[in-house]
Amino acid sequence: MSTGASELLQGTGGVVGGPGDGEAEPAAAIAARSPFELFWRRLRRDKVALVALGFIALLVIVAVFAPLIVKLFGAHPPNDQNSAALDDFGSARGPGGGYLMGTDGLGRDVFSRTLYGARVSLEVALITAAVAVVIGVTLGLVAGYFRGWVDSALSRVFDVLLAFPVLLLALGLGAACALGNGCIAVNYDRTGQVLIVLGILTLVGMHGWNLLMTRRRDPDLPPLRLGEIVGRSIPGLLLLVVGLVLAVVVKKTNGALIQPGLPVVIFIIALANIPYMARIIRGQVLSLREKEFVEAAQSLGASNTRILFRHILPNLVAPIIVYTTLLIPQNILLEASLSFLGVGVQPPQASWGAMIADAATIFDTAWWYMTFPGAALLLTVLAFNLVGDGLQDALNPRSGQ
Amino acid sequence: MKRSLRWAVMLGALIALVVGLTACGGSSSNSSSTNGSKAGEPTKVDLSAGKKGGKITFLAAADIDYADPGQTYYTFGFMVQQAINRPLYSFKPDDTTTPVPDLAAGPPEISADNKTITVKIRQGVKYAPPVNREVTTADVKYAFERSFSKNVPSGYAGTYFSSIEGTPAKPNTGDIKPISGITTPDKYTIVFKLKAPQAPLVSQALVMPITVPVPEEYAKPFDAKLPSTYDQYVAQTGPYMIQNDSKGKLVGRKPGKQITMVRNPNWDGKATGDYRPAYLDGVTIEEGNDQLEVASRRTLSGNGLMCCDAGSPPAQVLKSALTSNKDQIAFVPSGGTRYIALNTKVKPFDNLNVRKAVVAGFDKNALRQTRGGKLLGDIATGWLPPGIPGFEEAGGLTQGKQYDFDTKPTGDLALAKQYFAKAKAEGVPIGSNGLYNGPDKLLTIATNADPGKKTAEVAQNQFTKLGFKLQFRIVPQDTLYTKFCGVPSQKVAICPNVGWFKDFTDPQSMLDATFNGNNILQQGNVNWPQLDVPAINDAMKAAATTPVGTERNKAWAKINDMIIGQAPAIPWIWDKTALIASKDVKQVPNGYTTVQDLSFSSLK
Repeated sequence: MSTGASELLQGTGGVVGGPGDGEAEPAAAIAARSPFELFWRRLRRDKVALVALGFIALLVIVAVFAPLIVKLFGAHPPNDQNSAALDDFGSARGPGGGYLMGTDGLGRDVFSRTLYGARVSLEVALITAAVAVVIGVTLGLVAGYFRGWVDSALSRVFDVLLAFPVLLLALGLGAACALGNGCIAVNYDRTGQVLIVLGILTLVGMHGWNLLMTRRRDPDLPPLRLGEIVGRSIPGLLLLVVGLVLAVVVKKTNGALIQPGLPVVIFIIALANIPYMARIIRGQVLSLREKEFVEAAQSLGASNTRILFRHILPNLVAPIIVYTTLLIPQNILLEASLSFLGVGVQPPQASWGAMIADAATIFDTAWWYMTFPGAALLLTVLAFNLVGDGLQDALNPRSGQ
Repeated sequence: MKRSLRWAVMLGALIALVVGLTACGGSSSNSSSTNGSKAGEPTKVDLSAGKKGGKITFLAAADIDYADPGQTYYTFGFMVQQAINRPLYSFKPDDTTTPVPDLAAGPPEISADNKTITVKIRQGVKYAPPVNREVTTADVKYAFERSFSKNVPSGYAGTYFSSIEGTPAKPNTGDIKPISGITTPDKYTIVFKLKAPQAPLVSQALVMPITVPVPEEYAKPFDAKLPSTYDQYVAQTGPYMIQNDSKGKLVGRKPGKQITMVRNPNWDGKATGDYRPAYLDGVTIEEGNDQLEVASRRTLSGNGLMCCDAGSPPAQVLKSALTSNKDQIAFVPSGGTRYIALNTKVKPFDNLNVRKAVVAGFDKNALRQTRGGKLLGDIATGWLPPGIPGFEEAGGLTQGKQYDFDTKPTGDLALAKQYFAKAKAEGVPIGSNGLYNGPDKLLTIATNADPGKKTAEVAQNQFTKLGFKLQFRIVPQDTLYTKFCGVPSQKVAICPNVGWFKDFTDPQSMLDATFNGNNILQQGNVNWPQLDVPAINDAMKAAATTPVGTERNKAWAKINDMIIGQAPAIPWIWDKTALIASKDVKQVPNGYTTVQDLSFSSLK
């Protein structure tokens, strides 16, 4: 914060010494800036990152409002096949004649499919990044903070996952899960029942045991506050809810836990991301847990959960944000690769990777089919990378020097 | 990253895009022009004399499956077999319906009870070096016997010849065992005794490579191994031979690289009544040309080349070739039907009117476009494709015209709704829009590779238009058959990528395995719709004994009609294969193998 303030002082020095001075101005012009203001100030100066951010905003708008945009441009719905748009050989039609970006080999509108492809890319990228962040950060925190056997066990699991080449692992899992009825067959009924029992046991255990033991030790303790009761009920309630959903709602669903299509892609990419995120966080936590503020919290009697989530986690926001923004473009590319290799989204859903794969064999006669989804993929990945780069510079100004 | 560098990257990407777009824009063309209305029609085979001498190179993607006549089962293997060996019967390039005696001296003699077939073979036919001796019927007998052994896995011996007395239910293990139903009264006569009156079918199947003679004394050491190594030491009787050494090893076959075929010095066509002219001095099969487009273009612009083993050239090559290289293309019917099987044992396809509605509403033309459009196939209306006896009797290209649901190539939604309305009266859930409205997702198993995947996507779209909800899954083609569509217990409702192609030209071979309820198997089932209609099964039983000829064709044509009436599947294309050759090559397509006939093709 002191660095930011001094920068600010230097930056406004000209104004302070400009025309109209002579009167003794109080130090009111020197204002303290919050970390966010400083971050925004630095980011604002990075025009490339801002342009990229604008592109991403546009992409999000396109993805969300794809149906409206398609209508607005008078384009055809993405899955509408029009055999009349093809020639006698069943070849794709180039741009024009009601098709802004031409058609694919089934007479579908490449423009619409490119727009809808953005949905898949963003959906996969954001969900997988979110899953990787939540699980990876939690595991990283636990491993780094508790060390010992927990750290060893988790780290070995990360090592195993990291030892697999991501694309190969993804292909293997994709092939196993994308075919037929999916993979990891689950008896939802039974699983749900087990989770319900576990949930009830957890609820009873957390409260009953706590009440019994603490009251026995000190009968004069004040009653639990509502927040504490709710807090302690969360794990049990979660198990109970998931159990009820599986046993009552999902019980009639056929097939496996991971169904072919987007769920497979999301599962694979998230699984591939988790160890990377966890490793980074673990390393940071190993360093942070030795800092004075952690010792101070421990000496004040703060619980491990409180230290982890109230004291250590806020210090990890910068690396999490930066790494997440770098994960997103990687995940977009991985989704495209999986779809390109035929183990990604299922037809007829539009995906840039699948479109590029379909177009590869006819590129010399149907350039439009590969060019537009390819360009969209290229620009999206580039934009996310540039934004990630800009964020890194803005959050940690020393890193760029 | 420095800011200036990032700008450069961004600009670079944009410039690359713009340049790419500009460059590609120059080649934009979606027009197609085919000169002449004859394009796509089966090419009339020109059997006029060709130039003698010279060599041709055939561009292939991969090796043949087997050189061993007892094992080969694919078109490309048949093409080579046709040049290097003489089965009992074979087809001249210009007639795919009537086999002619090849090693046999005349047509098969069939007993009145349809249980005995007698074949006499030509005298003086000799094996190529190093065997060098005359062919006898004992060699043909041995060829059959070895094909029923585990050491020589045959793809079809059990399917078409299991009605011969003494054939085992499962391939024999250990030594090659004799088959009691095959006898050789003398060196030039062979007799097949059958368990059932199946002589018409079996006699037609005598064109298969299993009838190529195999000299027992020469082949036995190779056949003693599991699997047999005779594939590398094949004894040859045709006008050409794969180059071999003094021990008979096929040194001219280098899998993945090339096959060198030279003239068989012991072949004397005139003396032994071989109809093959064999103009060329030799043929080289150059393998590794797995880029079909590259191989096609190379063939069209090169000299002394023919192509391709992996199917028709890509549409873009055909398009340009039809304008500038029309004489270098020949079209030949593939002798098969592709269809979308509707499982008649799974709701709602257990209802005939639902099936009729689906057939009526389907746009077959859209399906056909996924395989190259009208030039590469006629819209299928039944199950007897062009080139198969009974095709004309069944109504030719307009089979099943008495069924209104089978007459509109682009689909008739109004008619589909009429059938859905009838189905509604029978308790099938039909929505207020007149389309199917059932709650269940129908398991649909499609192939994951083009062009089949494209076909399946078109089918998926059309089923959705008709109101069906699909659980659409894509799998590799072999998995499609071995794990799903060929396994009735999987209860796959829709198989959009199935097809049945001739092994030989007999109508029974096209309909019996695929639509006879008695042939539904729990594994490896090919009656994909699981059609089991007693009247059809009985009619097939009766027609199986009808002698080869017009009556037989009519009987099976009638069965074809009965099957169409049951709408067990959506037939959508009778494929044609486009064959290409260089300007200086006179290519002669063979309607049976559906590729070029190496013994008739020549240099110009």
